[in-house]
Amino acid sequence: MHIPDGFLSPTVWVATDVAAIAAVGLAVRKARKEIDDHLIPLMGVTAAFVFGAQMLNFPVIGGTSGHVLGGLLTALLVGPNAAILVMTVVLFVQAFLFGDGGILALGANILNMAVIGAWLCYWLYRWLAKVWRRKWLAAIVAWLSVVLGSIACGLEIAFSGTVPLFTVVPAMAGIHAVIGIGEALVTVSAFNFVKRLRPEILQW
Amino acid sequence: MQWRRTWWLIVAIIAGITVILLPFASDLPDGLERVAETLGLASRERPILTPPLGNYSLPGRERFIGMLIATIIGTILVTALAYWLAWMVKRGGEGLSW
Repeated sequence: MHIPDGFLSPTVWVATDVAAIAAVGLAVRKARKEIDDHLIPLMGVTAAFVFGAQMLNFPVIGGTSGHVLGGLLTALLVGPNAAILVMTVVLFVQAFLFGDGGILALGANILNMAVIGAWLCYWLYRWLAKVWRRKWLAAIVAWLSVVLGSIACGLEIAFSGTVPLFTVVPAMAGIHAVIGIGEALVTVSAFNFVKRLRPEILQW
Repeated sequence: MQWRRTWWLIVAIIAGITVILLPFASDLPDGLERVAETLGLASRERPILTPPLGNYSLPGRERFIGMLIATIIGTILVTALAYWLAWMVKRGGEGLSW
């Protein structure tokens, strides 16, 4: 779901870059009070996990593949603000070193995968946890993080004026609804693994 | 610095698992690439710079070897950058009031 350069109009990439800079700036400010000596190495390890997981594409349907985004899992491990920073580091390295995602489109990718996929979905998880059983919640919100991110991606492409809104958004949401099942499975597996091994580090 | 060695060991295990699973990773286009192909967007791709390890490969190396080296370099780099950023943010929080 990494948008390359050329897909977004200048208006859209400038707007999303500005929004992403503001979001990362706010995350830095908030994370200052949250990051302690234990969280620093965990943020490094989580970045390694997200990077590795995003390299491993799995086949889905119709000659398409998908990969884990890891946003919700990151937020559950290091907290929502630190998660924005971890996801941003991964997206930055992917764009500049590997050409996975555009440089100008980096802001849009940060919004889709870090702000929506990690931060927003973490707070959605916390809010739903008050009214719903937690057993399946991580799976549902992890699935939703991929679908919401793909809808945002579709909207950014549509607002760039290249493809009609009602063509690109359903196409993106449809295929990512299937890819999101993989995200849900990996998130729940990793979440349960950590919960059994080191429940005290989970921020849930 | 025992704890620091433990964390790097976990990173090495993550990199190792990624490398082991790499041959089984799908080469099919991902969700956005598939949609872009279907809707005729793919030809609009215009990279603004040539990345040193573009498409997770090393120039002149076999695809798998290139991906393996790219995985190791990428894993070490994201870990070190996230660690450094976290450390800088924490240090800033201790020294600054904004």
